[in-house]
Amino acid sequence: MKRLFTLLAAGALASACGSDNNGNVVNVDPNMSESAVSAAFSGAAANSTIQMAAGTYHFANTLNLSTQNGVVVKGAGIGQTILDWAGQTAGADGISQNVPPGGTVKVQFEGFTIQDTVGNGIKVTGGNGVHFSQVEVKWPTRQTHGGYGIYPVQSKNVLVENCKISGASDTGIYVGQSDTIVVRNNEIFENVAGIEIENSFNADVTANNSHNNTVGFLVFDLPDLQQVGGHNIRVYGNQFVNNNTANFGDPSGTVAKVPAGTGGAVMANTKVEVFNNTFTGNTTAGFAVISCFTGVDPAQDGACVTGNPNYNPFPSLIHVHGNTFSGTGTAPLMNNQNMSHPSFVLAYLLSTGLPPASGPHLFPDNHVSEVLWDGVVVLGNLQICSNNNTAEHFHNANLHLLSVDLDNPDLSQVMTFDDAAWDCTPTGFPLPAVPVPTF
Amino acid sequence: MSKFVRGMIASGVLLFAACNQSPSNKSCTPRVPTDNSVPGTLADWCQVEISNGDVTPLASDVVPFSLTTPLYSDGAIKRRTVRLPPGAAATYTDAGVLGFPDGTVFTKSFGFRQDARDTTLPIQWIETRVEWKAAGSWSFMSYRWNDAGTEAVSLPGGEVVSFSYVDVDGAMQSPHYLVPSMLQCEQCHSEPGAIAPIGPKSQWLNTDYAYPEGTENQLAHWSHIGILTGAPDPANAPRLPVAADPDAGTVEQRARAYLEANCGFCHNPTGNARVSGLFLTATTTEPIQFGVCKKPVAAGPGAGGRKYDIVPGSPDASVITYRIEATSPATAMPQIGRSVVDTHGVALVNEWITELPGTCN
Repeated sequence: MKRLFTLLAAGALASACGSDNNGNVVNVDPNMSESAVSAAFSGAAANSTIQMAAGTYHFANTLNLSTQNGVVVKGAGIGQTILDWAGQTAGADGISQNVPPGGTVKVQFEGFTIQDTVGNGIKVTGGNGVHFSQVEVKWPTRQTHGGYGIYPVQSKNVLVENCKISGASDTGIYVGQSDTIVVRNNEIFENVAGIEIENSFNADVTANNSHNNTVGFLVFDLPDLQQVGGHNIRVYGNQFVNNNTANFGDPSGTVAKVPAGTGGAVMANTKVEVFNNTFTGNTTAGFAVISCFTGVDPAQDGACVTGNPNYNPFPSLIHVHGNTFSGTGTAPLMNNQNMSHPSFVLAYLLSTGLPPASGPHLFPDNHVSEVLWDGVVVLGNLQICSNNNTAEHFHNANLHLLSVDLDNPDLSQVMTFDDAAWDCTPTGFPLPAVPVPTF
Repeated sequence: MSKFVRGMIASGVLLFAACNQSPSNKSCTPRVPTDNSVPGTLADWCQVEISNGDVTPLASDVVPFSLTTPLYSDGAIKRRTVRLPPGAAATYTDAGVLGFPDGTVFTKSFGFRQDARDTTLPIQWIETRVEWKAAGSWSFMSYRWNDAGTEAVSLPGGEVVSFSYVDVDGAMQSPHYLVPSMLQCEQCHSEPGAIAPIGPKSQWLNTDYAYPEGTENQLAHWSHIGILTGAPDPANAPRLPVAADPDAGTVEQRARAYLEANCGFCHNPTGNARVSGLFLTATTTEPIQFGVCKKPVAAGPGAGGRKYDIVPGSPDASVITYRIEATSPATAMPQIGRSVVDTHGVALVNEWITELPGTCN
């Protein structure tokens, strides 16, 4: 066995280093030692394929993947090749690839299941051409679930398709600080957030089924990161269904502030088009447009004012149109049993007057509006537009008019309902399609 | 009984047999690979071996050294050496890694005593990591020692080694010690934006070392044996204090040195933790960038429910404290290379946070 390992390791090393091995296939199987599999990942040559045979692999340590260009990690399919970290004692992620800034490294992951990592499923930092296809991430036995399922960050040309992510304590598919992104045809369920596009430029999110999460999708921009100023995001043709799971995110995380029962939300981005989606049975709100002050900083402690001219805490140029809403806002907060949870604050601000406050219903048809805006604005017309949706009402919480008393907000004094006021199309819309990255 | 203790007993005979061997007299010609091959055993490097229970240079031009404040590494005993090609010298710089020439080879060996308080006990050596420079680039490999300390074999995929030992305070520690994979070496050795050594900078080297021929400042010694050019008088060279020595600097200076040594290699603007926006190098001057009132971004459960990385005056409300006290790999920082708590490091960082002025609201 020892001799076998030495030979395998030597083979992996040779492939790591010799250009003559470009395009080769390195076969791994569940009978190999963890260290030998890790050596194959560590030493993968440019344009090589790590072919992982069917079966269950058990790992204690993160698999760090080579940063040579064009590596493909390929399994026998979801549920066939299973990478299991139930016994993880080192590293936080399942698979991790760290490309230094300015890299031009392509990478592909296809056809396997990752389960029970202590932290994220797959994290890729700094890639350029990052493809996830038919990858499953889940936490079937761990009590405490990891943060992100699929996690490309500071990457360009990202394509996530035909994946299946469930149980993430932050977000199933999270794309952060990235540019040129397509997320399509995925099933994402029982996470806190299904899909999140954060601090990113040029994304198309389409044909996904995001259901039974706390929130179906988020388009957020946070202060104090290396890339800020999220823009040009299209979310279209998706299903956002029954996203009513109680928020089980860590209370300090941003997603912890999102109320259960939210179809989707955009925060502090510009040029976001949400259209032709089906929002069904999201019992707190359909789609919310909010500022950093509402989403990050209800305590008003200044985190949203950064001095960085590229960071705009207000959403602008938002167009919500052609969506089909049903069963929206019928039972806000009902899945937030813990009223001290951060998500309660935001839910209350956005849907005051409904249980558990048990005040008079402010809303037409006795449910929270399908589309709502926190109304926090300093100057000018932010061009928040909503029209041509089915069964739509739009409300403006006008939080900027409120003398904020989080213990006792009286939004009835400020909230407005005027669907016609939001019947507009922002300047420069419709937004252009994002070119689908090719591999 | 722990695996480590059992291992120590089981290997005791072999261990002491190894200890009684005299240093190798075999002729051994150092050769730094330039063709991307990697030697299969540590012996192939002709740089160090285990002799009389400790790491021993195999030639007179192998220079041992130490750092003022090292990475904690589960409390491992470490031995470092460097060898430059004959006649070559590193060029001095105030900031960052010294300018080492192609052909430079570092070794760093990691071991533990069954009871760290008893320095008469033998050291069980786990691994020796080798870092070398060829064609302008640095490469890494770890070599895993056998129990007897007679042979160390390359381990490109790394290994988690679980055992128990008694630390310097008399507490039982049971680390899941990580022998890093090649890529995990690079995960930390990624500053500034390129793969490079971390320790051999003026700020860490500028201290005395007890050489066989007498104690001398390391920068001065390297200059006088000809492997370093351009260095100023050590009194004029940068130095970060020994974090563990209360007399070496203020609490702030020592805590910032500790955080740079244990976190700054990733938490800098080009390091692997750049995506967090939290920069823990000692030269970071903006309080929000080194964590004061900075909200955690993508920490998830790693924030432990705490609102800010550092809350002045309140370590127990600070994410940094939570993460350096954590041992689960999901939440522990640094993310790899530490599985037990560095109680002295935590106490120092907490002392600094406690004395920071101000408030976050």
